[in-house]
Amino acid sequence: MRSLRLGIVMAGVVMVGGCAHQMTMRADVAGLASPAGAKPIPKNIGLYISPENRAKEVTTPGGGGDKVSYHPYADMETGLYKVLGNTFQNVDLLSTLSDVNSIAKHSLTLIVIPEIATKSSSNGVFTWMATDFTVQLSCKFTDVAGREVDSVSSTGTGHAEFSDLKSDFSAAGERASRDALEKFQAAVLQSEALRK
Amino acid sequence: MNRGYLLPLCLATIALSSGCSMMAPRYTASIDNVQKIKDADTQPVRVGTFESTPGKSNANPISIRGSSLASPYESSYAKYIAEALRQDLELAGRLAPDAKIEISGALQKNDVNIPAVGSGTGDLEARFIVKRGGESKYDQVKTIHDMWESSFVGAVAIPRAQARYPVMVQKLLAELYADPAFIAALK
Repeated sequence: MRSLRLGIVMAGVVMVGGCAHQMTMRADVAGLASPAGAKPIPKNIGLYISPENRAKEVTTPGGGGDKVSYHPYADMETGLYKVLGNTFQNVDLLSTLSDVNSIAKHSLTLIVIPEIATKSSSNGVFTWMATDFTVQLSCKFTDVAGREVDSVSSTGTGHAEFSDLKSDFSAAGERASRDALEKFQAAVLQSEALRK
Repeated sequence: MNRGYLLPLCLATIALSSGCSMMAPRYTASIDNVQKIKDADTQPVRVGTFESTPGKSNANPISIRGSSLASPYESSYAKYIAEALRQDLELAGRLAPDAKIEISGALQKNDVNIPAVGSGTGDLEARFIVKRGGESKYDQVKTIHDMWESSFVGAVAIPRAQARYPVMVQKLLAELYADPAFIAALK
């Protein structure tokens, strides 16, 4: 009987303890609309995310002593592209910072380089999913020669209850990401430096 | 060992490893795909109806280790493909509801498999039809077979498979956008 109990406990520990569980922090792009009456900045912008950042996987705390892992840059890239499309005349993806062909072809005058930091936690004892998530999005805007034009940051938070998380493990991360992007969009539209 | 710990631990294990009803993540476009459409300088396009061809390998919902994975788009994976195309075209600035060119099609294969040992795999196959003013300009089937690192542990393998579904759809659409005949049909 004792060995049976030990076996069950060990199986439980293996199945729920100490693992890094995959989640995402992709915001629902369909919900990232341009605010009513917003005037886009009449410039073409290039979005640059380095291959290292695109591939970067981050692991932060989840619930019950477990961890969650995700790809902040790959997950937020589409939302960023959508928001930049809402706030500028046109947005294009740059493969390198010295992608002169794209810069010339798309008449880019600005380049944006994002930095993303995240935090997660959970109030769950028996579940691994993160119930609370924070995203710090900081973007450096430069001209095509690399001179800084402005820097815009936003912080998004997301909370999810178990009732949300049981069908969508990533609910808190997705909400935090959307919150950060919406605040970022508002801050970009208000930037005088980017309109000059 | 205190018995009080044993019951919740076992219940949590069961709850986390099987029998859940989950939703696939909503589609998120691949910006590489979007940029491909943008750079191709195509005409405006509308997205028509996508059907689902009945078949054993065209799962809906998808079953993964006893859990079911439903589509977030009216529980239809065919509509998932249509929504994915719509999102890619919208982000590329090529979506127009009144466009003369229409993309429609049918989802023919749709499945995810995560065995206890080995990699997770996913298969998608869809027929894509492009019509201009009712005349067929393109009619081809695209297929992908995806693989990823999985785990014996259900609470690791299941979320990984769930998160993978939009990536599988991105890969299927990347096959479509890489086809010069498809791009030519949109010009």
